Amino acid sequence: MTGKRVVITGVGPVSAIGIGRDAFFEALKNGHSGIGPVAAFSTDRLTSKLAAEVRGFDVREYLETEKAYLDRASQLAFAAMSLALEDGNLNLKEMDRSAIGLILGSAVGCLESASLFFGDFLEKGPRFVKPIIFPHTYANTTISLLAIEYGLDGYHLNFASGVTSSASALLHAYDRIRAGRNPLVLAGGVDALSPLLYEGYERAGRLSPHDGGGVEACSPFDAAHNGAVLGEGAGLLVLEEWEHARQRGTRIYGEISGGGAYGDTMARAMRAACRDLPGGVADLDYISAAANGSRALDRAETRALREALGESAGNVPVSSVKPLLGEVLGADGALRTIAALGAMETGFVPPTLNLKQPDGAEPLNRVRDQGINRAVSKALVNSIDPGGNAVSLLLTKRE
Amino acid sequence: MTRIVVTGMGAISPLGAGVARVWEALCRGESGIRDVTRFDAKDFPYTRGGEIRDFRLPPDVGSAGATADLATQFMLTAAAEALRDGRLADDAALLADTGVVLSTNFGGVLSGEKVMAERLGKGQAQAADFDEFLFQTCADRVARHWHLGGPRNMLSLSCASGAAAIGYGLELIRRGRARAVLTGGYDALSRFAWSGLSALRTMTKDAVRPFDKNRSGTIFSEGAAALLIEDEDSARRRGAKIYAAVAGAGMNNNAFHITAPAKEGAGSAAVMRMALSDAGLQPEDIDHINAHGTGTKPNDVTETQAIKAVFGPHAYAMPITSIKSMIGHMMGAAGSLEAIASVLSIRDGVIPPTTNYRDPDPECDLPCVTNVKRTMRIRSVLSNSAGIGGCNAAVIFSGGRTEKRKARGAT
Repeated sequence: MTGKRVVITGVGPVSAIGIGRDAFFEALKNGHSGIGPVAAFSTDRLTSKLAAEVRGFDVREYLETEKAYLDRASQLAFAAMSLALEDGNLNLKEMDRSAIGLILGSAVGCLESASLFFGDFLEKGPRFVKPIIFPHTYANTTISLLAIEYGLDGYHLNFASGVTSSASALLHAYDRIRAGRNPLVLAGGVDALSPLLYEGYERAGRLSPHDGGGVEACSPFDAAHNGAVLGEGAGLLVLEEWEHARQRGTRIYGEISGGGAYGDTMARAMRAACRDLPGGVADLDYISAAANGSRALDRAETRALREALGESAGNVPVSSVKPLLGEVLGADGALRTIAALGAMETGFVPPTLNLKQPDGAEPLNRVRDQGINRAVSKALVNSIDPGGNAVSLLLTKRE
Repeated sequence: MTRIVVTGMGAISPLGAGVARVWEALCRGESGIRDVTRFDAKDFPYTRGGEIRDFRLPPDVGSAGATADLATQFMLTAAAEALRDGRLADDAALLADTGVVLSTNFGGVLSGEKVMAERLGKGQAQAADFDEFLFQTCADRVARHWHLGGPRNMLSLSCASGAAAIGYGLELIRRGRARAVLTGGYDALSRFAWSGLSALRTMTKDAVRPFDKNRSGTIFSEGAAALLIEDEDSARRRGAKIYAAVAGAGMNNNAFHITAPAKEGAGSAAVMRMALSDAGLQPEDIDHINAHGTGTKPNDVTETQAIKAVFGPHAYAMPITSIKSMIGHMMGAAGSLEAIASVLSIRDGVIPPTTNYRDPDPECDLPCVTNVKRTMRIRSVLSNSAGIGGCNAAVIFSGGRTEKRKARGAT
């Protein structure tokens, strides 16, 4: 099915390694990890102590007027939106906003506000809860507040699809534009750290070092991998029909040229995304892996990469930037798509920090803890939820 | 372009389990509203709701759902019926290309309450409760149990969720990402939601009286509903039963206020126009609207204004109804269950009544099917949904192949 070309013309990353495009690209190139001891809340009762937190962040820098209340997830998303619009040279007030789509995703939404609200219920009883907080506890609070703030009264869809939330949002935005249904879509995702989320992940055995091994670290694909390290962040992208972008003469980072989404079949998602490349998956210059240091996920993705790549498994560089970003859940697909555009921009494949001794003898070209200089014009971003949904996005750049 | 059709349906609601049972009850004008017993409601300002009692998982869900959150169990129950009804289990190749798109407001909130209470030192939770609270867990449970291999997504768009799931499922099939999609919506009553929704002052101690002059609010309820939608060629090849076509859909946001409805229902009017344009239909092609009709003062008047803005004089020739008068507002499941009612209105030529209706409201003067069902031929139905945050969704269903079909625009 041929359709319109879909290009990316603006990025708004808000992450532990940097806020805004320049800081974000720079940190990827320098291999600066955003992971450190958790500062926002106490981890005294817990085994894990690390997270990739967004620090030095003040939402007021991205707001025109004060807000009565904003959950941290909404704050991060407001910043990402402001940055993406600025980066994409978009003045929404001059545009037909009803034609613009807004598609976001978040794994846990405004979990901290839900916890605050329910705390009041338990303390004071049902008649004394705060009516102002309740509307901020919904999974769609963030997207709806953005629609209200920016007057985006057009197409509106919100994913709550775990780690694949924002990759699903980007894939859907791509499909919408390709089919001519929107000339421009603002798409991405967000998740914020909170004590409830952190403890929930710890108890579920998902955090390093719960999966065996004493050292706490995020080391995807490494023999010592023993769990994920949570992060937080938001990523918003301006996706635009190519002709629309060309007419307004704005910069083009790259193009989304394919995508695939399947449950429990990652290799199928990768192959579907690369369907229009002459040599398929083997033509890729870089694969941004979903591996987050959890043994089950790392190994499942490794198997899928081998299956999809076949004889080319040793050729295509694969890395995971999660030791830099942390496992950012609903922001994953969006932030790593921006990171892959950074690799295209800088000609540098970012490292898998902490990868020294690969787990298993798979013939994969896993980029270790030094990145590599390499021209990247075809990159694949794999986003995989531990529950099994897999989304792959193909990014290309024409000379 | 191929049509997308409904080939299976399932529901569990305060009016009972199973689509046949729920539909009969709706057509008879039964009420599913009772005293809430899930939690001690006497401390709350409102004590009556649409609660599911004597719930049992169906045998074909069995152990797969035994440890699931109650809301997820509702969804598994509706999904089981829809897949049974659609006879999907016989076709392994189709299963691998069937997506899952479910939607909810509060997901596994009963498990979430335990996790939140424990964090605050006021209760105990198990490690599994956190996973049950995560929305995507429900889609995972459904997809795994029935080996559905297509895109697997949870959506959350407040009370527009159920309708939006159908709209997004439709897009997945049109873009070739799936051949069939199990769409659905679900939610369970909880102290969390009940205290919040009470605080927003949208509920009533009276009955739900949509479009009535003395309406004073809505009543929330629980349950799940599922619609299996499928490429028509695929459905015909395998000889599936075809209920109706999903002709088109729209989703948008009022971009106005987080809780207040938009002035004159501007967002709702826009989303109905999106759905009509998507379906390639004119306003006159719609024979009936299954309204959002919550029974709150502002919703029913703004929805009336929106319908008039879109349909002009035809608005007075086209009956509307709100099944929320009987079944309450099923939150994330509302759009899905109302979609099922819309489909069955086409199949049976019957519009279920808007019960509890006594006094006409000059501001809500559209022809409403009051208190007793109406029989009439229906080709196309528009089902309206809206929710907190200003989310709107509309879905249009059409029967047969005889309806006027205009050239599609950009689709």
